[in-house]
Amino acid sequence: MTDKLIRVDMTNQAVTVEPFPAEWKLLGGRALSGRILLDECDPTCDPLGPDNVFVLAPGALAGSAAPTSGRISVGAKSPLTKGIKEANSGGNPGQHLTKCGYRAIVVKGQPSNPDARFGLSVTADEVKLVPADDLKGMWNYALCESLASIYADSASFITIGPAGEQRLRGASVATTDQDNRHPARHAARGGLGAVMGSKGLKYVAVDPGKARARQPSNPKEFAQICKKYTRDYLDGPQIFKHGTSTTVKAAQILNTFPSKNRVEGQSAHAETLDGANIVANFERRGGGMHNCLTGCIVKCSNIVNDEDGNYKTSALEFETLTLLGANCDIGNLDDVADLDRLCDEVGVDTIETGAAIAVYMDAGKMEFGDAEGAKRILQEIADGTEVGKIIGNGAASVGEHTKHHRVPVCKGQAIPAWDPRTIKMVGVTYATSAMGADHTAGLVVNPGIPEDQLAIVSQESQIINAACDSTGFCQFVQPTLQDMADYYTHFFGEAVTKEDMAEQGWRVLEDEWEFNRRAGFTDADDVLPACMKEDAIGPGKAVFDVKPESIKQAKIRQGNRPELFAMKAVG
Amino acid sequence: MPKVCVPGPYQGPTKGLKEILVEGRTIRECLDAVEAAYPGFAPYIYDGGPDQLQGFTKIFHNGDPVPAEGLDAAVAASDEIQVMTAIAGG
Ligand code: SF4
Repeated sequence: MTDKLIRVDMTNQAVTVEPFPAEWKLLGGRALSGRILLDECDPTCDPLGPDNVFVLAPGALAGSAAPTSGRISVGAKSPLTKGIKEANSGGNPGQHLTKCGYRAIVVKGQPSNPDARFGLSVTADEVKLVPADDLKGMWNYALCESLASIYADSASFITIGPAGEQRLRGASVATTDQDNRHPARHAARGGLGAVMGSKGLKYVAVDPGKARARQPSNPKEFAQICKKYTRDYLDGPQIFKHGTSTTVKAAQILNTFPSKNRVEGQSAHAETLDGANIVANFERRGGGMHNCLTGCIVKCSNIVNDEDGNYKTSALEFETLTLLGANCDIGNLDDVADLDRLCDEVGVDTIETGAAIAVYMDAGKMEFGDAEGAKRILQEIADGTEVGKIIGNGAASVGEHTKHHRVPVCKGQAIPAWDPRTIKMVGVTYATSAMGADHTAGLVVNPGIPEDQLAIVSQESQIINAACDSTGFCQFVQPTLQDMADYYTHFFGEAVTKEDMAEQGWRVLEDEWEFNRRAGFTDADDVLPACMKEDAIGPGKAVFDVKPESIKQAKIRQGNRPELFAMKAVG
Repeated sequence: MPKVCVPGPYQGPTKGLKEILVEGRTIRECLDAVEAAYPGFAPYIYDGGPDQLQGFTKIFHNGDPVPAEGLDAAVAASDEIQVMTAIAGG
């Protein structure tokens, strides 16, 4: 099958399908999205205007038999950071698109009527825009139920909720999971749902029908590495088999479980918010662990039921428990699960929204710990009230409106759970990544890294995660650069080395930094907010005190140390 | 001397050290020896009592998993005790 590229012009509601450029053969996911944006998007454009380019790019191995691959990258100029943005998600749309032969969808323009809504219907034989005005304002779960009644059982969906339609800067893009077709997986960060909303696109439905998996160039060798990799993983400790939520207690000990708008590094609610409680509840309430996309061997995604055994949400992750729980001083697991579901329904990032609510609380607009108040805010975001808009636009927006001094953001994006004061390496990533504060850009949870090593460890971690986010592998399957090279070699039928993969990862970072440079970013933007340097946490009174000269080194290529090739992707 | 391998997240107390040679006749004694040299290590290993391992910590002895009740197993001078942790982002 020849690879194809879908182009959608929302100004004229026209769709074209063209051959996928041969020179992009090895590019997928984040690498492909970044290259398209650098080539085709004016970095100075209004992120919510017609000149922004919205990209959906499955990983390079998506749709193949490679285990735990198939994630899809969503890319655009971010309305939150004003720089380049990539966020990726699980679920099945990435695999479905590539099984149909499509390596990317590039959406440009904007309908003249801002109230018009469209859906993009994709099969192997036909791609067309369809009217979707009747779906306007729908929350994600009801929307996907409605789409499930229209499209075949084999279809998966990419959707936005009311937050995306309102073009709020905290809006996410949802993808449906493989078993229940719930819109429970989100390319959440950077407000990309707002860009999709600004294009008038309410959903993309991808129906692969009976399309087969993508076939590798070297079938025998490819099958062998898939088998070996799977066996090695299953024979190993499978450390993520209970999901990220069980990280809570460790994060508490490490003083990276921030509470009350990050004035403390630990929370009084670590016991109740510990994901071990979610696992313990499976027996009584049902739910359990599952794989969000077909062929995932890690199965880190939890399904959380209520007391009566009814589905409540999926997946309740460590980041969500931290930002919507501890950081808002909300200690009841069911309340946080409700908030997670509401965020998925309305279509907002749980990290950004949790951080925004915490700033709002810290500014005295609401009591810390007010779970019902937080749920009302989610309703207000959906309703488009004044408060809903302020909070739906993210933590920086709340800081601006309340004139509050403590606003933990970097390049306009809320800082995730991993705290740069105790895990200083991640602070270097937050400062230097073109993505703003994003732990998936490069994270090594090690508080013992000496200062003179922080920049190189951050750089190496950013390289490997950029490469991983381009392959379609989930970071939780933790591939090394050699693993990725082996898969590429046998899938694409050309020799790819671990050094080539390192180069690809670095090139991704360079493309992203170049986009931001053209958008007007300078070294002065590579800083963390004052509160991270002034508000001390933990017994060691930790602050982020890495010198600017050290931080800068992360953006200067340091060469390939053996450590780079021993490192595994993780986010 | 037996060697204790310390994962990244626990290298705060060990000041970045990944591998530590210790005196000890059992797995527990080896882990206690790390705590004695680098105070603050034990909370990552034990949850409350000495027989209760933290849920996010896994111990391996020469590559074989060690349950909490197996911490008093004897170790030889050339043995390796690996501490692993389930810490992820999300
Ligand atoms: S490891 Fe978890 S997040 Fe990644 S693909 Fe599997 S279930 Fe989804």
